[in-house]
Amino acid sequence: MFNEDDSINRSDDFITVRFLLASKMRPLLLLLLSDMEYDLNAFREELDKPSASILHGLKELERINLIKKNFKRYSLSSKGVLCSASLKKLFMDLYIFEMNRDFWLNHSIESIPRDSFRNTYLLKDSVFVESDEHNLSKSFTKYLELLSNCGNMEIILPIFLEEHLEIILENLENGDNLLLITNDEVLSSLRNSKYYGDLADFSKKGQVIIRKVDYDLKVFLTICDEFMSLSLFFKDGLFDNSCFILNEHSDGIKWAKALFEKFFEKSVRVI
Amino acid sequence: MYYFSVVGEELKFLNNSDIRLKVLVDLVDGPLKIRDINRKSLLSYSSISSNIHKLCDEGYVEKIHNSFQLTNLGLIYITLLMDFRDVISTITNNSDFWLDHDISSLTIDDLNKLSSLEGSELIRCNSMDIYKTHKEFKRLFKNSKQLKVIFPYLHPEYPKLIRRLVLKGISVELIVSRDILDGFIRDIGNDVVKKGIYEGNFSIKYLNDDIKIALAISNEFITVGLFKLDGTYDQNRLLLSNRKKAISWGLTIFDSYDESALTLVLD
Repeated sequence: MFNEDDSINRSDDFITVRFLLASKMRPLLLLLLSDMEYDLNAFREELDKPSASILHGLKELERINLIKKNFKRYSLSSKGVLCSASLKKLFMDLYIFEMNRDFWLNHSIESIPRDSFRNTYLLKDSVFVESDEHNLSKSFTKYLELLSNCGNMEIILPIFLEEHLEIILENLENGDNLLLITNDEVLSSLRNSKYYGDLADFSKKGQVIIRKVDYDLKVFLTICDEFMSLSLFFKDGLFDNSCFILNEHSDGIKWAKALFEKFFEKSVRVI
Repeated sequence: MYYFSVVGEELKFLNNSDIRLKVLVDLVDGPLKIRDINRKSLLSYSSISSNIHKLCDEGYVEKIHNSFQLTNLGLIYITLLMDFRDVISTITNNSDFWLDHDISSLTIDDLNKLSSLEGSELIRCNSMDIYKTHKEFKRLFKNSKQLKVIFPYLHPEYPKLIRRLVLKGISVELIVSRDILDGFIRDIGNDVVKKGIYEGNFSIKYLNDDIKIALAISNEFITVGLFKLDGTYDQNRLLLSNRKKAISWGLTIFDSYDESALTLVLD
């Protein structure tokens, strides 16, 4: 039933990973050296650690050719530059999850392809817009406000909301475009709504494209020139309208566009 | 440093134990009972049990009926750790390719996607075959259906190879440094260059700045060559991969060079 070698082989090559990450000193030294050369005194001042532990860490890194020593000054080898850059990426990739552990534990991520987690360093400047007891619709109001200044829109829509559609139509009136990916359920609600005729008209003018996927959508993603927003469903299947991830930086928008592309590839045009 | 201060403790917790990592890796494919993990990993029941409960306490694993499964955080952490492992193994498996070489031509974005090169083969010259990299390069070129190449240096045989490919109608896009542009055109042949450009299967662009990477990408392979730290091109080492991810990594680099390269204007 099981390939017994599988787990052993897949874990064996974690040796260097563990060497780098099971210590606090080794990654710290690599990170410091990625910015400039250091001598022992400078390390001591920066880290506030005894010379012995610093020297021990340096020797270990030198042993596997990640750093080199020249006249008492330490610097990264080219291999060390690569390791240090990968470490930085790993820390930045994990940052958004570590800062909001409960959010990620409580929400469904099944719709997000695993590949997308490999570049979450692009989301490091995101903020979580959350409603609170003083204003239960804070996050939704903020989202609609952002949407109304959106410009061209790319949206993955797993829910049907009238207020949302009204703003989208206003944007379309102003000459903006919409590329929408949704599912059968939302599409059916759209078709039965008073908004469908207008959307169809804008589609004839080339401003609207609607596509659909055949599987359950569990992400609500909006991408404009200025921002991306991402809302998720709770693990019990209910949509969480009390919180969304907002990123107003080009990196965040880049991440969202890559995610959108993955859904786009699996969608078919309906309008 | 700031990001490390946020995630360092958690990474230390996971990496302090080989067993924890093994358990997380085993659970990537779906929920398992302790008995199943024991069979897969050959770890003892007690080791698995104590570590899996620690992973549960820290939010990486959860118990569903009698099985254990990764939480979202567990899945994300182990996905990213496996990706990091691929980068590290790319670097360590080809240690002497990356060591003491000039990697300034690679951007942070390129470095961040270094795991794409996982599984690459390092072609290395040896005393019995001092032209091994060169031969391999020629072999790959000959069988290509389309080629995108960044040449930072001029080897007398390469223009001839390019000439043959262009005349066969193969699509070839070249980027070279300004210093070697004239030599390349001369050796390919002015008439062939003009014909290729006119017929649309050849383009040659140049960069005024120094190029510090040799990159060849076809529909089937990618090769990467680097300069040594003393400024000379390392003719003895060539990294080769036929994986799609690696080819796509190379195409991104080629495209970024292509954007800043200048188009040759022929009389």
